[in-house]
Amino acid sequence: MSLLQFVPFSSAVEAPFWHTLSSRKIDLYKLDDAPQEIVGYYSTGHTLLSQDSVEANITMPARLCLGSGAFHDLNSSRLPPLSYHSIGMIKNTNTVEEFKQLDKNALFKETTKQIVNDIISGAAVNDPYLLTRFVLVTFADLKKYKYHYWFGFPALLTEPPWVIENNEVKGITEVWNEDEIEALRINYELFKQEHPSTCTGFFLIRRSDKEIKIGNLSEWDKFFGNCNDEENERMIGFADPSSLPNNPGWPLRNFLALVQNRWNICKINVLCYREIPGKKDISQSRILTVNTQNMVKIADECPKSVGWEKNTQGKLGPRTADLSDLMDPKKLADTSV
Amino acid sequence: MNSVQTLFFGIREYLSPVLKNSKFKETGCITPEEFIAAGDFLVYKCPTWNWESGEVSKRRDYLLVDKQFLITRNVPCLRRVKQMEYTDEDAETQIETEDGEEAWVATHSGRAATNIEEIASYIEGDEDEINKKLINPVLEEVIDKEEVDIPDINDIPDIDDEVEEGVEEEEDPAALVSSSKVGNSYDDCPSDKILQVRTYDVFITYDKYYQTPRMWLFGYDEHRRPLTSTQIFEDISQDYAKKTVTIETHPHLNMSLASIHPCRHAQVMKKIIEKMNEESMKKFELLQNQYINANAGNSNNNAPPQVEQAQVRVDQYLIIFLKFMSSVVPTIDYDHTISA
Repeated sequence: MSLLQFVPFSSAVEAPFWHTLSSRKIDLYKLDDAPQEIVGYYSTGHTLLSQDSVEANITMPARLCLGSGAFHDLNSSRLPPLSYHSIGMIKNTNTVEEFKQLDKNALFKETTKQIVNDIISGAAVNDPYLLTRFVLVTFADLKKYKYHYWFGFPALLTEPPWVIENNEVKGITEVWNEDEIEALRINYELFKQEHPSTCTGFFLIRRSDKEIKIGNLSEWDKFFGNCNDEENERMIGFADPSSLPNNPGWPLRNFLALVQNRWNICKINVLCYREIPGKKDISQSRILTVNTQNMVKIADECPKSVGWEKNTQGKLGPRTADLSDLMDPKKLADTSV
Repeated sequence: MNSVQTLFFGIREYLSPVLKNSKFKETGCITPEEFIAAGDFLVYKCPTWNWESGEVSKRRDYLLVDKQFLITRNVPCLRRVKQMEYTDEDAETQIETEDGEEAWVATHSGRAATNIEEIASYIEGDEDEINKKLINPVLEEVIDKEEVDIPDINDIPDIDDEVEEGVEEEEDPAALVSSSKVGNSYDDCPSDKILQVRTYDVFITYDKYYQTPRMWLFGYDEHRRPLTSTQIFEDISQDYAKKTVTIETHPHLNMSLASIHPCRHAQVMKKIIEKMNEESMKKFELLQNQYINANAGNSNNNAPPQVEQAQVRVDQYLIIFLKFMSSVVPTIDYDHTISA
């Protein structure tokens, strides 16, 4: 039995986001530094297979992206194609000192608490995107066009941790036949069309010898009713931002916490849904069975959580985006030809 | 999917009277309506592209509100153009031998064309052939591996090295400690490592003055920091950097981006389209002859090939445009393939 290890999110902020933040700071928030809700997005991971034997395959990091639409509310924020909503809270401080002294642990804990509450109340069953809540602390140096920022992606700790049954993470093509894979892809496409984007990142799968069915988390009991567990019919699926063969992405952590607490599940089959964008190809999806000895329910006391993003040196610390080249009118005059 | 298709055909039908009067074959220029039709076709064929509306204050009224410009995000850029130019003749010959009859030279090979006319002359052959070759660009081994070890001055942060900033993290055995490495290193890279590469957000806007599409690039380094203009020029074919590629304000965003100046786009597009039409006319005549021979004597059971099918349609304009652009930015691997 080997430990199930998850690939953390890597933040990916689009430059127009910083521009939008600047103008909102100047025109709207001014000195008000109360946290604001923002909307991020992520896509499924995939590996770019090399064209010849010389090159390595290119495996992209699991990205959590913020665009200029991040400040719109969920319904009006347009989701880029083939991606999934995530919701976060931004705390933009007025000074660099405030940024340094800010009680970041408290903010992180607050977001963790929201995730726990959504699991206990069942809100996360109806809107599972709530499981991917994140926190972002920023300081925007508007004069220098520099942005200091730090993302946190809270994941609830499970003790003892989840392990991979039989030490096996298999490619979907090793387990399912071609027709089944295509049926899964088509049914999932339909599922995405029929449901709001807040619940399509996490779903239920039932694979019998006749068909592949996709269900919403809220239909768990009905969907898995008289399921034959011996036949491995019962399965949970999620849009997986990871592209690594043996490691699912971060969203699965809180999803498993939900599954364990809501439905008392300690062992379950998991499908890591990975689609090559625009290619209608899900053959890079992975399948594994996970289990845990942890029988403890999330009590009223908030469980421990982890997930601050490391900086480019691999240490806990903020990152900096320098946009002076692209936004500073003085510098622009230098580069224009 | 069906509804998308219906919508798409609906739009095409709605626009078709405009397209019939189009001058795109004669001039290489397109109208805003044609830009939208071609954009819809691109989005339909390559779903990684999508329409955006941009800044409200910068909205152009000759374009639809929600179809102001096109964008595709997080496009990997595996290596610098310079690295491609280290290679000798190998790359080019490989491309030539891939399909014996026509020597289509991809500028991917680093043997960048010296001017835009040359590119037009390279892009010959019918569309399928261009596709085939662009889908499988023959990329050569990076020779200069030592470059990887040179520490990047940009990695020295401002604020990052200062105090711990008071964040406490629990021990977490279930988090994968990133074993990622920065791109460009290809030696025995195990498949379970994340190879960090530069990425680009690629925009296509409509340039009203030149009446052509215009491409814009916004790059991020391996650690997702915005690239400087100098760094972006590393990914542009050296014959274009700083000449036809400039840093300008994006027409729909309050931001400066690298852009490929459209002053010669129309001419090149006209040439490419002419070449493609010539090639496919030849093919059409061949098909027509085959058809006539096959149906000689017996009554028609198949419809004869239509001459319209042999011509480039205006809604294919952006797909062709992207192929043309891939010679300017040879290392940025955006989706310009026709999937179906």
